[in-house]
Amino acid sequence: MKLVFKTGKGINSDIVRQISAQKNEPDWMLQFRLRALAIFELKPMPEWGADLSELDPNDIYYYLKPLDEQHTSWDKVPDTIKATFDSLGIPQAEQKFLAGVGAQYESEVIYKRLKKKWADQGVIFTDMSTGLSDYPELIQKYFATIIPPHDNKFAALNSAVWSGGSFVYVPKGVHIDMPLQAYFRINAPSMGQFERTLIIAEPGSSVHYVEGCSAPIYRKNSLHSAVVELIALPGSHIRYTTIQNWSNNVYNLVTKRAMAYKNSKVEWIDGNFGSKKTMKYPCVILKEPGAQAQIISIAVAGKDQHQDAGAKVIHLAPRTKSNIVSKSISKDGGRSSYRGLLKIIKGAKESVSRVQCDALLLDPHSRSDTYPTVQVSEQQVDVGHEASVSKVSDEQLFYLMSRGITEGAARALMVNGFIDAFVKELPMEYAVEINRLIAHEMEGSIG
Amino acid sequence: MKLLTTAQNYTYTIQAYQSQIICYQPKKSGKGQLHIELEEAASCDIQLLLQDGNHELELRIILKGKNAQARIRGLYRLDNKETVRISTHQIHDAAHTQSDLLIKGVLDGSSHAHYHGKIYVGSDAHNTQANQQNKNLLVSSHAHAESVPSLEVLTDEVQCAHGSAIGYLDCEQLYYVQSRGIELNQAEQMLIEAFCAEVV
Repeated sequence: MKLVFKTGKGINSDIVRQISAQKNEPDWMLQFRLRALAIFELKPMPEWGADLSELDPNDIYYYLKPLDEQHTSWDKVPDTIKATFDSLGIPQAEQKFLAGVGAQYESEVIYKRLKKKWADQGVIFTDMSTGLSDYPELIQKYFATIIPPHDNKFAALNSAVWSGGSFVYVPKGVHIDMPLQAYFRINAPSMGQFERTLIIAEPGSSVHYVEGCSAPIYRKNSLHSAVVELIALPGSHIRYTTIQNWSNNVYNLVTKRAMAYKNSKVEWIDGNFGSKKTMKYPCVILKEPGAQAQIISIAVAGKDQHQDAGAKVIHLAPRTKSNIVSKSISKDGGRSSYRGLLKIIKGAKESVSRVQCDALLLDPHSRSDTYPTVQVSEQQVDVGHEASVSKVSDEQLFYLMSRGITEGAARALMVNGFIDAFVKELPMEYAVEINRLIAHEMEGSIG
Repeated sequence: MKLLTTAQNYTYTIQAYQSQIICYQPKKSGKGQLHIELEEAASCDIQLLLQDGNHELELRIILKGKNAQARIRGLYRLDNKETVRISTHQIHDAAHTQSDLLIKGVLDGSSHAHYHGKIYVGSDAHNTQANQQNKNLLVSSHAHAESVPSLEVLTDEVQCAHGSAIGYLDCEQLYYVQSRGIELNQAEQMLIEAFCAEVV
């Protein structure tokens, strides 16, 4: 496949200018990128969370034109990944797409039909660069208002070099009845390296956005750093589902945050499989009375992996509610950590919050950590945090095996039961895939 | 039993198969440290009471020997501008060890409480049971509580849990007591006493 455009390794202001020029961006976006680059260079590497000392930001290609991402041939995709595709029961054409070696043409027709239906309702669903050229006033109003570049080092990096990602705008009172799926947008890569996603739900609207899939995403690039901003205006409802299964050479450093206005509801459903190191803490700021947040996440850490994931909720107004459920599984010497923040400021009366973190350890070499922080400055609140760490119970295992189920199958069954709270929130086809993925992962670990 | 009434640094080793009760209740404000090591099958009951002043306490319990057990019960009652900072470490270095921590606080006035807790289960400490709970009652609207419990578990044969709760008195309980002809003020006092009774 023809190589269209690629910047050199490393990052400097020339590269940022090249990226911006390649995309024909307005000057304000170029200036924004350059400011963000300066911030990226000033900020030190984070010293908490996952160990990032092996990550060298100068050894990475920061921009590859979409076509270039598909230049790998099917033969170069590792056998382990092919085997996973097979056990997940994914058809060949789709496998190639998922491995980054081809486009999924079959869905094009369906996508066009859906696109027309949404467009008739005034819904915008496109990639971020198209959004910027077609709807500049919307982007200029909301872009980087929730996550400014100085938020953290990797948000600054993303702001400087972003490409790809989705732009979704749902007009007042419109309910989108089926989930918007990132992989429908086949005109641009659905899972780039530095994607930037912005979702705006106008008052009284609702939308469910799904990105990723349970099959492993094979990328040669080792750093993935996305920024996702959600804006839930009064009375709206946004649900954002992510399932990611990165190949185990990837650093996945993602900033996700939502602003929830009066009586709106924001839900993050977040599944983290694979990757070398993940640092990801989806956040909801409950800005106005009656806003609600729900964050349900699962992290699976295998050999040489560290999943440092969690959730943050900040209650800024009275009668706000939040619910966090986090499940983590560590196996084959992997490490999973829950790191969370729950903050209730003074005046956020009658706020209610529940945090539940459960960890499952599958062998003696694995590790599980829980680091929640709870800060409350208001008297009339109800806050609870609970965490537990345990292993697959021998008695339960014995019971299942006494019914003629093999040990591997029994373990997979119990692990599936453990993550049920997460799986039941997923669209059906994803839930089926997750169950198969767990079964596949368990087979590997019993050996 | 050891009764400690001044805030300073203390170190104890509980010998194998011995047991000890340690009460830490400083009479004056100050910064203290309690470092307790437990040998095989040793057990220890620790009671903390922090009130009337500003207190800082670091409690470190190391379960070094098999079958060691530690039980910690603590209470802080703060008013005006008083602050309490407590950090606890439950370090399980041996198999079949148990620790159970419950620290409660009642915060009035514009008092502040900071609780940092850690349970660490080392890779040899299989069959460990560890529990850590911190519960705060905010009686005044100017009080502030922060609770940071954490867990680090390096092996799989364990049962670990932690929890923290921050809240106000249960409205239904208050209503019930008042419906029996008791003034609001007094009803609040009764429920606060009941909240504390679990740990003292």
